[in-house]
Amino acid sequence: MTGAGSGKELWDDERLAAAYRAAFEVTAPSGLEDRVAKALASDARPGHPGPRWLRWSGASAVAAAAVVVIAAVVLTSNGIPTGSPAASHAAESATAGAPETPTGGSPSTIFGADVLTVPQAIEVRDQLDDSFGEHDIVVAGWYQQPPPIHCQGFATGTGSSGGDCTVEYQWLIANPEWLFGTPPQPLTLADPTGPAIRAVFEDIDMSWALASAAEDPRQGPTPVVFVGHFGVVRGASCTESRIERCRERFVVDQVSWVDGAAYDAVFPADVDGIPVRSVEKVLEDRDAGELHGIAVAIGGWYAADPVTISCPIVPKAWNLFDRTCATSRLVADIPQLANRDRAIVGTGLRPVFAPLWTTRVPAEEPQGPVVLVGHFQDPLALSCRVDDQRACAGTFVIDRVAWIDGEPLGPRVPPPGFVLPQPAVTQQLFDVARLVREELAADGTVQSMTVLEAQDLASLDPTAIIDLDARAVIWYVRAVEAGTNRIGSFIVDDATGELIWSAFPMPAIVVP
Amino acid sequence: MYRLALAIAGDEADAADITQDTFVAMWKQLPKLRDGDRFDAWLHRIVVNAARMAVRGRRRRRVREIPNTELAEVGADRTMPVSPDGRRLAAALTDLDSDQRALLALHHLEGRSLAEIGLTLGIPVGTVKSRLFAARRALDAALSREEER
Repeated sequence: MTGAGSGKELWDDERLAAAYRAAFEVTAPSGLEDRVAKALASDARPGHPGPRWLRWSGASAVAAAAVVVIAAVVLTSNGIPTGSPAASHAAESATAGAPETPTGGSPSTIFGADVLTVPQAIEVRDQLDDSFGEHDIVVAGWYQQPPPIHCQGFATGTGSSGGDCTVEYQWLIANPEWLFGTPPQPLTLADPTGPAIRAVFEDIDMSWALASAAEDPRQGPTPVVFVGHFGVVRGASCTESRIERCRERFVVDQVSWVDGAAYDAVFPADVDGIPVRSVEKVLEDRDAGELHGIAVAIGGWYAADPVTISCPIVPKAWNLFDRTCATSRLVADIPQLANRDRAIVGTGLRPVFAPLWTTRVPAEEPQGPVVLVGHFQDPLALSCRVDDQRACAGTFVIDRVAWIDGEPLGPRVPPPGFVLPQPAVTQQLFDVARLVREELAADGTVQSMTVLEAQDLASLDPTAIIDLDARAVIWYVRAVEAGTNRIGSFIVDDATGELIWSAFPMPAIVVP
Repeated sequence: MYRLALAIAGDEADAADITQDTFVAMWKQLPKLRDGDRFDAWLHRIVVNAARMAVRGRRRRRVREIPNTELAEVGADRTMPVSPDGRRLAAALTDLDSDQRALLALHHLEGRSLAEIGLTLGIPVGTVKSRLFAARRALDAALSREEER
C-alpha cells in the first residue's frame, strides 16, 4: 500500500474508509429533495414528458394516471363509422355558424403577441412561406382529444398500414364542434365542418387533454390557445407526395391556455435581489438610460443556434462583439424556434457571453425559459470601432445564467485543470470570492470569475490597467452589490491573493 | 445515493443531478424489475451508471458550476473535504477513471462485499476482485503523488 518502504504513513483499508467518510459523507444539498420531486412529477405524467421548457408549469395537479379508453373501431375508408347510431351526434352537437372567435375568456395576447382565430391562422398559413417552421403564431380555438385510433382499416394518406393514426384526428377548430362520439356507444369520428387546422403535438405534455378525457369520457371540445407554427416539411415522414399535407399541419410548440387556465413559464421575481425584467422592459429601461452600472436580470426564452458558433475559442483572440457569434443566440419574450436571424415574435435581443466564457447555456437545453444576469455598457465596447460603439455599448453581456426552467444556477467558474493558465491554489476561488465580497460595502454576489494571464487583460477589459508581468496569473471577477445591484469588475493577483484593481460601479461608456 | 454519486463524480452539482436522474430512472424502470429482492443492487447500479455517464460527459465540459451559496458562505461550508486525508483522497480520485471510482466507492464507502458489488455491477466476483485490486493500486499511486506535492 501507499508509503510502504518509503517512510510514508500506510493507507490501509481503515484509513481509506475514514478518508472516504471525511470526503463524501455529506448531507445532500437543500433543495435536492424538491428537485427530485419535481422531476418525478414531470416524468410521472402520461405520454412523453417532452422538453422541459414545454412542460406545464402548473401541471403538477394533473393526475398522472389518466387513462384513455382504447377503442377498437371499424372504419370506412373515409374514417366515418358505418351505421353508427351516434353518427348524428357530431352533427347535432356542432354549432354551425357560431362566432369564429369561440374561446370566450381566452387572452387576446400571449407573450405579447396577438392571439389569432383559426381562420386568421389559415390565412397566415396560406400566405407565409415557412418551410422551416420558424414563425410561431398564437392561435385560439377548440380542441377535442380523439381516442387512440389504429390506422388499419382506413385510408388516411399517412401511408401507414398499422400503428397509431390518432394524429389524423387532432384538430384545432374554429367552432366547438363535437367530433368524436363517446363510449359506450360505438366510436364515431367526424371531420370538422367549420374552419380547422390539423394540430401536431410532438414532445408536448398532453396530460391536460388526457386527464380531462379520463375524468369525463363525454368531454366535448375545450377552448384552447396554442403557440406553434406551420410548415415543417423536413421530417423523414414528409415524403414528396405528402409535402403539402405536412405544410398544412400546425405544430404545437406550447399549450398556453386551456379553458381559463393559463400555462406559462413562471420566471422568478428576482435573482439574488436583482429584479427579473422581461426583454421588452429591459430594452425600455436601457433606452431610458436606467441600467448604467447595474446588473440586469432578463427573464425570457432562450434559443441558441447549435451550428453556427464561429467565434474563436482561443481566449486571446476572442472578440466579444463578433457578429456571427453575437447573432447565434437569442432571448425573447415569446418562445419560438427562430434563431437564424429570421423572425422574432414579440420582443427579443441578441445577447453575448462575457469574454472568456468557456461554455454556453447547456446544450441539451437549446431553447427554454432562462434568467440571464448581465449588464450593458461593457468596457469592451471601447474596443469596438467608433461607428459601432453605440451598438456595442447597448449589447447585453451575460455574466451568468442564473435560472433555467425552474432550476437556479450558481455562477460558473473555470475549474483548475480546465483552463490555462493554472491558478496557483486550488482553493483560491473561494478566497477570491471572499476578497471581492469584502470590497463591496453592502456585501454582494459574485456573478462570474475568470482566470487569465495579465497580457490577455486588454481583450477582456481595456479600461483595466495593472502593473504585473505579462505572464502573471490574475482573476477577473464580476460582482454585484446587494441592495443597489451595482455591478463592478475586480482583479485579484493569483500570486499574492490581493485585490489589485477594481472598477466599481462599472463606468458608463461615453459614446462619441 | 447522493453520497455514492458524489464519491464517483467528485462534484456536488453533478452528484445532485445524478441523484435526480437516478430517481427518475428508477421510476421509469421499476416495472422492469422482476426480482424485488435485488432492488438494492438494482438501484445502486442505476446510480453507478448515471455517475459514470456524468464523469464521462464532464470530460467534454469545460466549466463547473459553483452554487452561489457556497461562494456566499466562504469558510462556513465544506465544499472541499475538511480533513487532510479526505482532501488527499478527493484529489487522488480525480486521477482514476469512473469505473475505478465506482468500485472503490462501493467497497470502501458503502462497505459492500465483492459479491454485492458483483451483483450491483452485473459482473462475476472474480472480475470484481481483479478490477478492485487494479483500482486500489491506481489509487495508491495517485495518493503517493498527492502526498509528494
